[in-house]
Amino acid sequence: MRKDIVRIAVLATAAAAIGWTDAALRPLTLALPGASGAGPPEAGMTPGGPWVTLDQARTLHLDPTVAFVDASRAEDWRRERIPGSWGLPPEEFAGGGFPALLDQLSRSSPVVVYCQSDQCEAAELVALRMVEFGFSDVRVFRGGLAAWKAAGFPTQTAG
Amino acid sequence: MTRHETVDAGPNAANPATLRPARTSRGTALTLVRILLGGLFVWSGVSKLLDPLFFAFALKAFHLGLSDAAVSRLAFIIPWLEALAGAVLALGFWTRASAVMVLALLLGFSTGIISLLVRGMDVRCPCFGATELVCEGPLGVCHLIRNAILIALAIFVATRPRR
Repeated sequence: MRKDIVRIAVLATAAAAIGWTDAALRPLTLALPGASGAGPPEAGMTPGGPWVTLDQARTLHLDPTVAFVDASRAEDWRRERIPGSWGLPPEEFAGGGFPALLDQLSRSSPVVVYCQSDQCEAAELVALRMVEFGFSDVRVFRGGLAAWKAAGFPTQTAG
Repeated sequence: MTRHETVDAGPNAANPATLRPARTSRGTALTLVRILLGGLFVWSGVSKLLDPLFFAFALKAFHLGLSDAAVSRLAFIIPWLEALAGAVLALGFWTRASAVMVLALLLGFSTGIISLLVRGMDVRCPCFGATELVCEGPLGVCHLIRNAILIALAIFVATRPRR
């Protein structure tokens, strides 16, 4: 028993040391450019930075130069989305891959990324990946489809 | 005849000739389970290490109140724990220790899934990177059942008799 405990401690320590070193060698960026602190404020989002309020999202949606990207699962995107949104789940970037869809978007155009609600992290993840691929104006609509629908704004369904 | 010999001579005696097949089949089952479980954990760890950002965001989604720096480190340390414990288990040395580590990781993952279900949160399974094994969609009951089976297998290996 004591021997097993020692072995577990050795394995755990070795894994932690390797993991710590790996994290130092390959640092991750988890925050979007311009984002401050640990994440978006839950309410009363301030203008500026990568976060977009519901009203701002509505205004941006009326601008034809702004691309809306839905980071929800493909089946969720197919079922219902903000009209005109591109479907781009994080899995499309698996292993550092470049989704073909991004070729259809201009890297200098404003992009608003959202997912199902403020309970999903997919929008931030897709936004970060897009920034990595050179998109210069990527914002996140944290409220997502749920907030959009709750406000009574139109959606696009299957098709 | 000694007392020891009398016991061994009974109808349910531990006759080496009759015990050998049972021991062999249990040994084969242990080896298979060990390799399967160990291999699965190596795959799980490596797939997370190939795309650490994906796993980091799944960790963020748990809303554990951790800083980005802490999440970044955990996104590497947890997969390395999986990969190392899985490799040691599959290779067959320090079997009990590595099986207990795998068990602890599975219990930790399951606790995380339960906390997501209780809070009604929608988080993609980062279990095998972007690949979905058996269970599709957000983390939920299917993943808990899958973990329960793996936990049973880990207990089977961890409680094997010492040779």
